[in-house]
Amino acid sequence: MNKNKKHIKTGFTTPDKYFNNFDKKLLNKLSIEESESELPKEAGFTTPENYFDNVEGEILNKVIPTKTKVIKLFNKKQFLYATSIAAILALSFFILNPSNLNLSTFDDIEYAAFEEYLNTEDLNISALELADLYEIETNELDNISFLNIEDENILEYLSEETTSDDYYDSEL
Amino acid sequence: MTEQELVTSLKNPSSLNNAFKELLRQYKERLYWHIRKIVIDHDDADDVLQNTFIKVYKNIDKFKEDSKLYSWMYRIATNEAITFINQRAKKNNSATEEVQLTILNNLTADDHFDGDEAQLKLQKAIATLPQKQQLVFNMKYFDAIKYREMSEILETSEGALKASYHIATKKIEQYILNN
Repeated sequence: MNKNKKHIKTGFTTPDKYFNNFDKKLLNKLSIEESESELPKEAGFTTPENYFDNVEGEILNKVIPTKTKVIKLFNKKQFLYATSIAAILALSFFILNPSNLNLSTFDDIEYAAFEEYLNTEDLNISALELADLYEIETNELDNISFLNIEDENILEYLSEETTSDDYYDSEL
Repeated sequence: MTEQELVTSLKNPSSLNNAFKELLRQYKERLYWHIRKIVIDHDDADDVLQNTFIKVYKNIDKFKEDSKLYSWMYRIATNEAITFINQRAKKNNSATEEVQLTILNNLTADDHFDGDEAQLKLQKAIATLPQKQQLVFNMKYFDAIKYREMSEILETSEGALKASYHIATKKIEQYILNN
């Protein structure tokens, strides 16, 4: 039978080898539909327990800044105070540390050096200031009785200590 | 809260944070599963999901409202996931499909995969498809997203999407028959 020959009654024709291929095509389509219907509708992926509850918090923490005010450990003012105190302490250490002067106590100052200092420096210290320095109250000075000093002692002191002639000149 | 109300709240700095929480509540799972099917590994999907929402939060002012918020977010998630998997492939000096197949070959040892043999085979079949066909197949087959919505998300005509899905389906069928 010539399949390409016009149908006697209707004149309709079919493509070459249509009926030979029809079965194969139909079976193929059925097998595809069968395999498609067997395809799983779930991907099979799972998540850790409570993942969706936790991920919301994680994302919020990343995008929404917390309202807690961040307090700096040091503000500018505190920093200035701290550096000032540190500078004072450092200077005090070098200036006042007795070890830097090679003196362990005040007693170690030699009298000669102290006397030299008093002689060379123009201290201009008044009697009252000197009294203050030695913590002598002015009323204590008043209480000193010069009447008790013997005349001999005064004469002896003057003969030993006042050797310069200037005194006499000025008195003249 | 309607989508329009949500968008208005998101664009208002005083209501942004609360609106964003609502956005997270509504979309986190849908976007996760969409991303997961692209990157496959859970930890990678977690990273991409977080980056997606961070981008949404930071760029909400740039959302022009000429598409649905849902479509805009899906687009960001898709771009983030594809960028991620492409970068992974580039790092490994291999094709994206190869990277996906490598991950899939290790899937049976993955704690977060409980699929059977058929599900694993289907995933491997999807991984053989070009990227765009993978996306279309996943969105249509698993998520039943309408072509109209998919057209907005992927910025592709509905006709092209239908053709992509048809071709993808045929390739998958062929893969399953041959393997």
